[in-house]
Amino acid sequence: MRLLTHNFMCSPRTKAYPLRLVPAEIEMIESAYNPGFVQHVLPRIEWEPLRATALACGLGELPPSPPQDPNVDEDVWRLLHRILLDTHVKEGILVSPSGAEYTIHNSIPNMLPKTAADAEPKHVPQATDIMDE
Amino acid sequence: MMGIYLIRFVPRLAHFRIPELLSVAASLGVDEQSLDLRPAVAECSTELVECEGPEDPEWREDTYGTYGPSLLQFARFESDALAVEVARRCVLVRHLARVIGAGQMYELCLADALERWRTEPWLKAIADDPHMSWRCRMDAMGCAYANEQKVEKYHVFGEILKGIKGKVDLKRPKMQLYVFEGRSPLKLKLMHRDRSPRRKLKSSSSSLDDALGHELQVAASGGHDESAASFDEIEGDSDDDASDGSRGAVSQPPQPDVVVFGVYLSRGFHDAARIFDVSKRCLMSTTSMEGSMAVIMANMSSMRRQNEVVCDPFCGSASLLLSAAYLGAQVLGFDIDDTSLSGRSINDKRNRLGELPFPCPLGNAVCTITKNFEQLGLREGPLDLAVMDCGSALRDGMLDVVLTDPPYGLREGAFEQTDNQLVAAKDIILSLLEFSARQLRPGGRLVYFLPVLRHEYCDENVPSHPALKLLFNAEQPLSINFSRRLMVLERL
Repeated sequence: MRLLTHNFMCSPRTKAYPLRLVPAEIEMIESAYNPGFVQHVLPRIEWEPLRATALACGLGELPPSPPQDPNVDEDVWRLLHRILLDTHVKEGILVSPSGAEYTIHNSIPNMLPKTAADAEPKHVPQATDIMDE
Repeated sequence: MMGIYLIRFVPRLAHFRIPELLSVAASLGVDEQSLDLRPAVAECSTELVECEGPEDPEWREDTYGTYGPSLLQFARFESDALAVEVARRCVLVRHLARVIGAGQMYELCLADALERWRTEPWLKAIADDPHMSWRCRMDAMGCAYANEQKVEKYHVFGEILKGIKGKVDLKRPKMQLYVFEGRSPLKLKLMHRDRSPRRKLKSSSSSLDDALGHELQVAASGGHDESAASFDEIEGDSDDDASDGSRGAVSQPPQPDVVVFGVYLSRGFHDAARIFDVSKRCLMSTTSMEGSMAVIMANMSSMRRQNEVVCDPFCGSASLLLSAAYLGAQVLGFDIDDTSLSGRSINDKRNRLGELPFPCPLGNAVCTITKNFEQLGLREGPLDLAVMDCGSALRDGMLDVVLTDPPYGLREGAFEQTDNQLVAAKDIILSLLEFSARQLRPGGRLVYFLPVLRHEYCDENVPSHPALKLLFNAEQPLSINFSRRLMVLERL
């Protein structure tokens, strides 16, 4: 899960925001610098949660307010690109303000409410099902 | 000065062709009014309208006849480059040509062409260029001519052809002058009546026992179902010079309803089916959207070629997102089922997707969605994938496009089956509309397929939402009873 997506996500039932990220394994995969895309999504990003999450992942400090012009402060834009798009949380937990937890496994977060999932576990057919005795 | 162009569409998916063209044009900043689409052949009327050419107001006809929009349309573009860019992106466009002359008979076409030939500067430039090698080609709807017949028709335009300074080059000409012969649906039907059907159904997998599933598979393989009352089967598929008697050449074809003489500019997105061929993919499932349809849907979203955030809240094997990403989008895929998202292992027999019908071309043990992206050269893969119920964990206003094929509740039903299966489908559609209204930026589009029982369908019952405006509703018949309609809505 990229940190851009994390910034977009909220609790599935209550829509509470933000979800606190507790990363267990992070992989940095470098991609081509794309200021056009960063500029396109910047208005949709909540800045303070992004700043806090970047610090929690040990990625460096973003300035207190978002940058305005990609031609100025290219360092900030490059850091922003790295944080949003190059940071992949492979394993971890997302915690909602009410305490509900959602796991991230193999880079894929599972946002199904745990109580419903626990109540009806998926039935995986075993060899013992068809054997007698 | 706006030029007049001829667009020749592919015979299939009649009701999709104009919406796809308009959507692609819109994404390049060409609005419907300036495009000024007009059919080249009268739709249902059997009388010939007396008029001289596309400039004449008598050409204005009802675009949607019984058999869907005309295969030949005139359009106006500001420049050749813009016209080519639009045509090249459309899966359903076969050819694009710039019109030199048009008319209802060869003589009228020649007269129109001569008038332009003498006055318009772009044509003078072509005529006077000694290095402009050229040749003629024929595209006659519904029939294939022998070479002598074609040359006879090219000679009708002899007065123009004599005036071109460049040499004839049959192998690699710089310019191709096309003669298009268009025929009305009624004429084509009469011509086809005496011929045996040329299209054969591809054999369907015996493991699909669901009737609708069979239809979906036929649609997925890009073929046609014989029981479908689809006009697509009737229209001819003649192309270029590949003429041989077995293509159903009629010895005395009826007169064409329109003849257009023009400079050939470009094909449409001809390679879409090959590039997005599902059978060549690492990961595929029973619900993967057929390759060229996935591109058509992405085109319908009017997305720009870079930086748009496109989401599929029921992505499955992310077939739709693959085409959107190839065209430059950043894609988000959500699904309620974690096994679809995490891929499948060839050796894992307990996986619900079952054995692969084709061996994985990458030879890997694990096939994943990300590997599909890598196969097409998209190294960075999707923006993200997540397990969630109908996109519920996304806060509002994050998306530019919602592009999806929601579960019909029939084969891969993720919801409880009720007595009336389409009730479940309708609930999902309403959730989808609600999700899209919350997530899309103003002007952003929702593109999805609505499964429909043909005899029960009526326009008023189509699910709607006050914040979404319905732009297009294109039917793809799957059988006598079922079809699916591609709905394109815009966030107000």
